Amino acid sequence: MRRASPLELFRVFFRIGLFTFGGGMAMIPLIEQELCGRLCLLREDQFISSIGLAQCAPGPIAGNLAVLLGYRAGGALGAAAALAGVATPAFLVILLIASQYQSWRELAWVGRALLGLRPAVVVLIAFAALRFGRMVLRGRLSLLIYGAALTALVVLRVHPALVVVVAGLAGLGQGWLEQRERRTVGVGDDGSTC
Amino acid sequence: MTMALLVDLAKAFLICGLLSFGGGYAMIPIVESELIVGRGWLTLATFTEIIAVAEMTPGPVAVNTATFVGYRVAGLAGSAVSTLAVLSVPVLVSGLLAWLVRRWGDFGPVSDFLRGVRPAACALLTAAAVTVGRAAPWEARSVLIGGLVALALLRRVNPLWVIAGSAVLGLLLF
Repeated sequence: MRRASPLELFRVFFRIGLFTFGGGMAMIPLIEQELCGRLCLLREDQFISSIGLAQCAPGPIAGNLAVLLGYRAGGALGAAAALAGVATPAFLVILLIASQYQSWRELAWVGRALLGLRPAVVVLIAFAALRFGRMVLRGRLSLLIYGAALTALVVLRVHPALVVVVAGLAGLGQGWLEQRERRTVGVGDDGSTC
Repeated sequence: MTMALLVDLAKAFLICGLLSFGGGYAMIPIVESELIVGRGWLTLATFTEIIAVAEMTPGPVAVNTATFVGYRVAGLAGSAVSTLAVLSVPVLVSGLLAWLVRRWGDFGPVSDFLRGVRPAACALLTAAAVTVGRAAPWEARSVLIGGLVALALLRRVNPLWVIAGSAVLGLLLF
């Protein structure tokens, strides 16, 4: 994967920040399209694990994702540029509203546009989940983690950061088991040749 | 006086950034205790207005809230200080994570850990779709918009156009 210039990352994340309504997760289809698709800056698996990691840091998911992905694609400068890019549209728009309008009721028409955005955001996120699921959910353990994590999030309302850490530990456990299996098999082979 | 106010804003939003695990909306109760009860900078009515504005503007809710409150309390300088403050702790933590993953990502245990994180990330996305879906108005016109969006995505239309288009549809239909 090639290394991105800070300016390039700023521009991409500025555009993403401008079109992100309704939380960081709504941003994910946009980022995927731009960074993994159009610009070829990230592999999909790097992108997916970054989504999990973004939940393990405090603060807005959008900002954390910008830092994580900006760093992957363009180092420390890239991270700073991506963060500045994603925060600047929000900052400028709010500044405009705070200084120009007496009351948000004057902006009621925006609320109508947002009612149209809600179902769109649902479908966008669902499509991203499907696409990632097809890529990631292979093998029994990943399906098990997915099912357990979804239940924990939606039904039991466990905190996302906790879910991510436990899932990571499960992956760690599986890696350990696989390695031990490999070692046992290895010893057996050695024994037979002796 | 103004300087002291700016320092106080920075302190308040540093705490908000530090304590808001799990996205901008997780910050709302902390803003409430820090800014409304703790410092009396806002009334509950103004805060409700800020959340409404944050919901109808692009970008992270945390940034929107910090910019708005900062501006109302101490003008342009206040909004800049609050926004930088609310982002600083998250940036340090996620920067550290990014560095760790790049430095150690191919190291066995770390890559095993990340392999476990990926299905959980899929679950996070699914859960986000469920949460937003519950809040969406379930009527014929929103189902129509959802269907059109699905069609556009299947035909590989750029998501930016999909979002712009559904906002226009929202204006026309609601």
